[in-house]
Amino acid sequence: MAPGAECVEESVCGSKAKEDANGECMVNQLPAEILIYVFSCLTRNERVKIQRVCRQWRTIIVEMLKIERHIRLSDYISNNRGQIRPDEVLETLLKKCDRSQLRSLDVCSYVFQLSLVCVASLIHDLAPNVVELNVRGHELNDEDMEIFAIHLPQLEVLVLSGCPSVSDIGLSRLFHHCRRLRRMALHSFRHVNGWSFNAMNPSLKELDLVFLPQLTSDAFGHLARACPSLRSIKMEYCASVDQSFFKIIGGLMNSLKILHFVRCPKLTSLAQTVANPNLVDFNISESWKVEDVMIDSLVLAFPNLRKLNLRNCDRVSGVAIEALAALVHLEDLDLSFMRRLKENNIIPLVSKLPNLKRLSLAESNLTDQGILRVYRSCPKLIYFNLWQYIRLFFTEVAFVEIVQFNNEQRPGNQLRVVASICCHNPEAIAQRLRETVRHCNVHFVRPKAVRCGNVSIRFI
Amino acid sequence: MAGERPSKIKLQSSDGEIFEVELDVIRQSQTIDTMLNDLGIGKDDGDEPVPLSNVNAAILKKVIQWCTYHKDDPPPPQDDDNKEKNSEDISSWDAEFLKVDQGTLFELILAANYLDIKGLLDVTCKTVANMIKGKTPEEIRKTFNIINDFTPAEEEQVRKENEWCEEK
Repeated sequence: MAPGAECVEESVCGSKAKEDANGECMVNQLPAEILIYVFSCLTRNERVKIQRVCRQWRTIIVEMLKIERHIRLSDYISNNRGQIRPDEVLETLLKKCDRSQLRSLDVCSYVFQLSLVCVASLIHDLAPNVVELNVRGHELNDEDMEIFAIHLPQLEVLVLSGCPSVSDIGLSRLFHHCRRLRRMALHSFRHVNGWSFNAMNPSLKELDLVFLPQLTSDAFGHLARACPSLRSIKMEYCASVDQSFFKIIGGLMNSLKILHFVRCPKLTSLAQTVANPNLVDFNISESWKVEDVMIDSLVLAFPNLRKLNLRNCDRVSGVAIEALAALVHLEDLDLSFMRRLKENNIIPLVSKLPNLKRLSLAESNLTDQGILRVYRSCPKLIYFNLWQYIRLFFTEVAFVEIVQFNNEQRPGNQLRVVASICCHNPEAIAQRLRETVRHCNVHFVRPKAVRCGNVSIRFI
Repeated sequence: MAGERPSKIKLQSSDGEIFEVELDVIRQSQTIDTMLNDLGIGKDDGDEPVPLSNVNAAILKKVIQWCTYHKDDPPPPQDDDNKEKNSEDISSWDAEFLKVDQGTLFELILAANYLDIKGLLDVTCKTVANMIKGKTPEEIRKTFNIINDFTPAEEEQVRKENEWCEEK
């Protein structure tokens, strides 16, 4: 149905304004909540700029800033031209917001540097209801950490990254003053080995540890004693953590729900006594020394897993992963970059997993037909990652079939497919889809979007 | 449930014109959907048209056209207030549909707001946002015929206050 329009030509996403006969300004007759909706489609930086247009717009933007519950400083400072002082910008923003509304602040950036002591005292003075903070440490040392923590006893969520000069001493001061932390992430603490974890506060529920190369498994013994409510431990690039983790952590192991060991090369298997019916999310991606025996033991240890990530564990064989069929609650499975897997291992596996919603098979050796068979075996699939770097097995025929199948057999299902298509003529695929499908909720994601109807297709 | 209700419903625009619309097309209007569910309109005497005092015939026709094309769309996702909305994801059909003069565009926004059709409101507001993007305040005023009601002193103050943000 061709849309009728009294129209002027122009770009896809906008219309050129026709001057009205009497020069009427219609946009400002829209109700305020609609103008708010329009302005919320702009970036925050643009919003600040358009305050100069007229008084009405300024009033609305000032109101919008006031009710912000979250401020991210990098929305307002995208490049550092030297004359911008980030602490002044932060102070300005904090003064404009409603202090009872602002809950969360993100001042983490690689573009500019802020003194954390300055940030802490600004929050203390101007926005005392901020309970979530994301910061980069730069020059922070152990003494400054004490001052920082004293100003922020109300913090519940803290993401603290890039503090090369902070040791366990500084961390223990942090834990001493911030007793309400329930979620904490520590990124890049080169000198921390974890003895300070005995001072962590008991309300901690989630802990993320990224690049703590000196962190030992012993630290988790301290953690287990200090934080019995801990439900999630996510580790990445903690090269010194090994199998003894499971023994040292003791009883805490049984109450964990989420456990990640990403890029932890010393991990090769689970300890034999591990059993945890509460674990729902297990991730050992990039821990490339993992072998077949890990698969069998994790199936026994974690029968109620919903999310499993084995990305790049490419020593695991195709036969071994068929044991994963026992994990009937699996909803999210990542088997990308596992080069030993074949179609005739993957298809029987996924057809036995009735709850599978998200599946990643990037760089796996599937053909067109294999992909279609996998897709048809998973009635609940909403995300399908088929990224291929080197070989192209997935052609336009399979695209159209997936889309048609989705429309006919699973109406209303929103499917997101991630795929790379080295095709010479993306327009041909778009055209073919325009002809065969009109309403389609399949998004093929890659850079350079080509839209056709409701299908979003992107190609290399 | 399906047997109780007629599959079409009559709508009357503010200027008296009557449009007959399939139910599954116009259900995207939360306003009308609520009317049907709560008030049972259209159940007993299917001939009585629903009066829409805020929408004229020309706009109502376009609204129905949009709803007809989008009738099989899944319900739009819940808004996450913290996420910035992306105004680039307007489909090419919608973009063509909205190549209209400003008057019509704003009337469509008002109609989508009154009839509570989230998808149409979303795409029309994003279109307006795209008309604002990348323009200086003076260019924006020109586009929308907005009068600059700041005094020179006020305007200077606003500019200075936000100097740090002008870099882009």
